[in-house]
Amino acid sequence: METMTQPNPYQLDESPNPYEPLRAAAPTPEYDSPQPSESPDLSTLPPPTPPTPPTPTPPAYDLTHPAVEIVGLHKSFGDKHAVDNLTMAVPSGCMFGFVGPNGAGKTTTLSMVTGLLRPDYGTIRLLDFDVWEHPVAAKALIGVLPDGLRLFDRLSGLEMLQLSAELHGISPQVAHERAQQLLEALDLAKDADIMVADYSAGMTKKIGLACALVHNPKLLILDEPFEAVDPVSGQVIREILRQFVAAGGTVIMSSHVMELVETLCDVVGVIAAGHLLAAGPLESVRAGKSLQDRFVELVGGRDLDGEGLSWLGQGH
Amino acid sequence: MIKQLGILQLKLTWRELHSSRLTLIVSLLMYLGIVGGVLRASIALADLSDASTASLAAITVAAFGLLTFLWPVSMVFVMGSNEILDPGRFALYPISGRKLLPGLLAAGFLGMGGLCMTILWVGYQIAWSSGSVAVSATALLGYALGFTLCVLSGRTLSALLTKVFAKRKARDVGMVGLMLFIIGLSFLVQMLPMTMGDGEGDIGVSISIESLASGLGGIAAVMSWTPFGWPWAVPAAAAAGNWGLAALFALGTLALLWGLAWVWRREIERGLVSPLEVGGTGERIKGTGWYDRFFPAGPVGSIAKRSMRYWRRDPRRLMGLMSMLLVPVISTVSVLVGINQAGESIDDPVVSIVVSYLPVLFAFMAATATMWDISYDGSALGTQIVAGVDGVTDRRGRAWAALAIFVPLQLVYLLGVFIYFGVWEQFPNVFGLSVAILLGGVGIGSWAGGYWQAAQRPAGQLTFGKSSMVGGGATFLGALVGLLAPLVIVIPTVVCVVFSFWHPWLAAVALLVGVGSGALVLHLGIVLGGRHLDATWPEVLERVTWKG
Repeated sequence: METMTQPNPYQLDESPNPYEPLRAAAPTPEYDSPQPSESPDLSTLPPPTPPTPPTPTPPAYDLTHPAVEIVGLHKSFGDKHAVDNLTMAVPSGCMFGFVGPNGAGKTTTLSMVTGLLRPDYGTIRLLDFDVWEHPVAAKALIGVLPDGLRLFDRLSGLEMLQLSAELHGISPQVAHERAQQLLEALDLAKDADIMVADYSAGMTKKIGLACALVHNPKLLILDEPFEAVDPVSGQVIREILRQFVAAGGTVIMSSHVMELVETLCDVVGVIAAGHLLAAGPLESVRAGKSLQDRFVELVGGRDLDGEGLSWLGQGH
Repeated sequence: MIKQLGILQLKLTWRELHSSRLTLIVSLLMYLGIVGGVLRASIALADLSDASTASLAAITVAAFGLLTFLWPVSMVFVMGSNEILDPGRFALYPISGRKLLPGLLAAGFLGMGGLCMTILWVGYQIAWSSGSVAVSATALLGYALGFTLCVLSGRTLSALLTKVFAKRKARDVGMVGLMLFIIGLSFLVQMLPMTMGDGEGDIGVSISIESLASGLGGIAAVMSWTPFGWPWAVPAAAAAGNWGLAALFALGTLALLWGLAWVWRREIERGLVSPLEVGGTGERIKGTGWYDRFFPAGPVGSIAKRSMRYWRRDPRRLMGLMSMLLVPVISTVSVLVGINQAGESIDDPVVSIVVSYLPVLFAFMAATATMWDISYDGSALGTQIVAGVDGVTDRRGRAWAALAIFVPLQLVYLLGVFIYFGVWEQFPNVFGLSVAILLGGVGIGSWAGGYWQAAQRPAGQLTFGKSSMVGGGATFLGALVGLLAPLVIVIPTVVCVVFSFWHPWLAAVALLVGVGSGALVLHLGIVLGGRHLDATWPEVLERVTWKG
């Protein structure tokens, strides 16, 4: 990709310290106050401006014990480097938005983080465990909504949820109770007995999310959780995720809807062509701009050459 | 539009064939075989030019009438995969049904069916060219009408079926129904030679054209008065000098073609405005499985319960189970009919002993049925992987479900045969063998399933007429292991069984050895298969994910 050849201050992949990206990107609490001048020349000074209010200091995240720690992660498919020497950390107790253009390596990274795809090299730690050295222990901590994987769609929604809970060792009674509550919350209660194969795309997404939640994990890894979901259910999901984080859980969600990430996430990572371009608290990553503008700036936006498509909108 | 759709059809067909080298080679070999067979048939047809007009008429009307009947039926088998030019795909374009129909029809003439029909036409035309030019011309007309009838009826039926099969439930039922139809048909074909006499000799060679014609005469007479035979009866009636009847058959076919085109156009227009699958409300699942209480709480039990549900609800699994049930039954019946034909009595003790061993066949299919279990999961296996389920748990859960289904069926089959034939002295032997193969087979399946997987076409698509499993040479090797390994593990039991004919006390040993060896192989299969899975889960997920 063209943009990758340009030096980028957010290019953090070479950083040997996994916590470095967040620290590097975190703003220093510095107040914009007028500096004393030795010989003020009042005639050349611009008219006095009111002092800029201090930017809100982002909450301090615990980086000594991150929820996810990725070091030197790499995955190639043939000649294509889908994820290229990726190093990053996700602090505990935050809502982390993982954003990037199509084909950036988001799903590949999340698949490796969740143990669904073996990396070529690199390490991934989820809380206390290395995913590829202690997969069973690491997976016990996480709830996953993968993108593009089918569910056991010949089960009803209720059965699917119960299976998901019981596979995590939850007793059938508790599994049933939790499944009912989740179905109710996600407006799937009336369709609980219908096979997942007969669900719409949005309903399937919601049941997938419920499966990720039913065993009450410490870390949620959600690939495009709001895709195809209606606005009302979307609002419920936001509430659930906020509640989850408020209670101390960590959420990692991928998306390419910047507005969504901006309103929901407090920490953001931007990936393109398998490289991490920026990571850190939302305010510091977007650097005073909207996340959309900052994102386009980071990944390298393309101006549409208006001449070439000038025929558009002029009839046949 | 005709040109564009024709080119599109050929291009898409070629791309599909070209998707992998293996597909291309297999398809080319298959097509070469078909074309070779059709060429032989065409030459045989051309040879009929020497036969009498009545014989030629009887053979062509019967054969081509049958072909016209089977053409649309064969569409059912390739449904869901052959609709390259599904009208719904044109829904976003400003094209009317009237404009689309000729192009879609023309595209229907292209492809394998069109090629075969063209090759056959050469023989057909030569056969009908021995008489007057007028008769030859009617043969050309009749063939053109007949060929169009084949294509149009096929297209119309598949358009109508698209509507029916838009519902998942209908596809599921259709798939299982089709499989039963095929098994029934193969059973009939198997029984046919037995009921026709000695069943020896090649009928095609030994029967002369005249006797074949006289045999088919009745069928042809009936066929020519059905819509399937009308176009083919045109030259036959003309050659007999009955020009009025020939005109009637031709007009009848034309009217039929017009009617079919009308129905098809209506379906195309419906497809153009409602291309999406009907949503429907979906089927409600009532209550929990009665078998749930037999499995303990925890991952093993939950995998077993899920697997049990899939054996019933997934049409692919249900089809596997049904064929597993039906094949031994059909084999038993075939053997009994064969014995009857050979003039032997079923009460003959040797015959009874032979028949009493047939339930072992059922057990033999256990390994193959179990080993592809994980492949049928497809990418849904990911759900289990992210839950951190270990391999042994997975193997054990699936094995429990398989045994919960196979063991009762095996017992019913065994008891049925023994109660009917009463050769109870063979019971320990047969029981020992069955247990050894059933438990051992599930063990082999558990082990082999951990090593070899193949991507299976997801449930809910009608898969006849198209490969439903992709896995390359490894799949073949896996299948071979699943087939041969049960033969190896059963050797100790077989040795005991054989010697028990001279030393009856060895029958009890056979029973013990059967149960012991079966249980041992089952345990080993679960542990070894499970350990291998633990080391390779991501690769297994990659292999079972259908990318079609």
